[in-house]
Amino acid sequence: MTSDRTTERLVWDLPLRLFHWLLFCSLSASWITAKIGYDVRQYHMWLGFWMIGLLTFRIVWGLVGPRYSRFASFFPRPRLFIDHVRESFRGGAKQSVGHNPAGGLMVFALLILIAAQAISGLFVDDDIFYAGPYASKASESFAGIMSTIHHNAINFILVLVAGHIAAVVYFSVLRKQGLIRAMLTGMKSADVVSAQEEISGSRIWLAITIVIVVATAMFSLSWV
Amino acid sequence: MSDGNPVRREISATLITLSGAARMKKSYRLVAFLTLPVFFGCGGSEQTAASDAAPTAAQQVAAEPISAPEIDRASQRAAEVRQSVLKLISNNFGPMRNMARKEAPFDAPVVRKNSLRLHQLSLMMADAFATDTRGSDVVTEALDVIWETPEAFAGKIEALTTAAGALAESAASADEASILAAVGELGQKCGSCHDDFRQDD
Ligand code: HEC
Ligand code: HEM
Ligand code: HEM
Repeated sequence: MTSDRTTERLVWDLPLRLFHWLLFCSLSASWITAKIGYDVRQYHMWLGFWMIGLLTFRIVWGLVGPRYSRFASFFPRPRLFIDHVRESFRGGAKQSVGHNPAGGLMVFALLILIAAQAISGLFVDDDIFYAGPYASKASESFAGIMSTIHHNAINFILVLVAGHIAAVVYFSVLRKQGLIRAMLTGMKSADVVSAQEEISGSRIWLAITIVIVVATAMFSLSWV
Repeated sequence: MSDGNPVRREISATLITLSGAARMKKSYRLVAFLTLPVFFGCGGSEQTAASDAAPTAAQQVAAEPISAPEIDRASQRAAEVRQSVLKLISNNFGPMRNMARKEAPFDAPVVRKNSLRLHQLSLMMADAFATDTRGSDVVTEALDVIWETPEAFAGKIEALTTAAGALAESAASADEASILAAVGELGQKCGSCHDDFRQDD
């Protein structure tokens, strides 16, 4: 990263940024393959398995990653959320180092819904060739619930994604907070992030270890 | 049921209205129900999803005749018949699906027998879908486009007939690999019709 350390400070670690843009690409691809339909369903399922791995990584990273990747650092708290919204309306909400209190809520909602979408996929059956690995092992009523989730959660996800993109574009373009740039480079202005608040690094080796463990666990389930 | 009493008529109209709302497309109902609390106070696109849902129910109710038991019984039977045909299709396709997915040993005679049955069953589909059940309240996954674009639907049926015939022939002569390839072809015909004509929730 070639940026001026005195004016910019690291907030989003590299693994988190990679996760974000891979999530964006994979979710788009899953959705497009789902819409195309039967002819690319095999790819849809491979993408779905990949996304389960991606989300598993994010959950572990939310427990052991650097400060602003940790769930504890942006766990939704009603008090903070209300204060934040109130101050925003007055036009004076303080810029957050990590996710702001409303953004934190959005992150949880997105991750939970996408996980529900992907996990429910393990239980659906298209009545032809393709079925999730547990479709025939689950009871009919449970599989029915999962199928309803798989066909409906996506609608909420699309609404939330639209809201998410609208929000980050608004804060980046109109409020000039540079959120999108920060999600690309990891850096935020030193005006917002004090020296003590900066994260010391991306914990790359920890991330690689987690990736290896998650990948091994996934392959041992022999879904593909 | 006597419709002479105005009070009773009023009650039955109300019940029909309520059941109309209950039949509103499942996904819209879920979206309408869950998005608002998730999103309160943020405004924007989620409102559209909710207000989309309201007219859907209203239109459905408005289009509903107050009482039409004959039409409903005919639609009910029609839906049962076509779903039965598809259950038989599915039941006869099942063993071949299992072979193709290596969940059952390959068995050419079974493929031949079942693909001949599928060929016959596919010839029943046009009649089974002849009754237009659009606007009725039957429980069905059949989409309205079946009766809006009948030629396209007929084309999908024909594709199934042809693929089943081809499979029956190949099962009599060819080797395992090409028979299983023909099973895959057949499955593709199911899938391409479901993509366009079967609701998926
Ligand atoms: C020409 C279009 C078409 C083709 C080809 C087709 N289907 Fe379907 N299938 C439908 C429609 C439409 C429905 C929904 C019927 C309803 O709910 O009234 C359906 C429903 C089903 C159902 C659910 C039946 C029930 O109600 O329990 C199964 C199972 C099924 N199809 C399997 C198959 C299989 C397997 C094949 C291929 C061998 C196949 N279908 C080929 C149109 C088609
Ligand atoms: C987050 C990831 C996923 C997304 C966004 C997603 C999205 C969707 C959507 C929108 C549909 C409906 C397609 C339609 O309109 O016809 C669908 C169908 C399907 N998905 Fe997924 N899916 C995901 C993960 C998975 C996984 C992990 C599996 C299992 C391996 C899976 C298996 C299937 C199957 C078999 C169908 C067809 C079901 C049917 O016809 O009823 N999906 N998916
Ligand atoms: C499929 C689409 C998308 C999904 C599912 C998604 C999901 C997420 C998630 C889960 C986070 C939180 C990161 C974390 O802590 O794990 C996040 C943050 C972020 N995303 Fe996205 N995203 C999507 C598309 C986009 C796009 C297209 C952009 C850019 C235009 C974008 C910009 C951002 C930014 C700037 C943040 C940081 C927000 C903050 O500062 O609080 N996202 N996104």
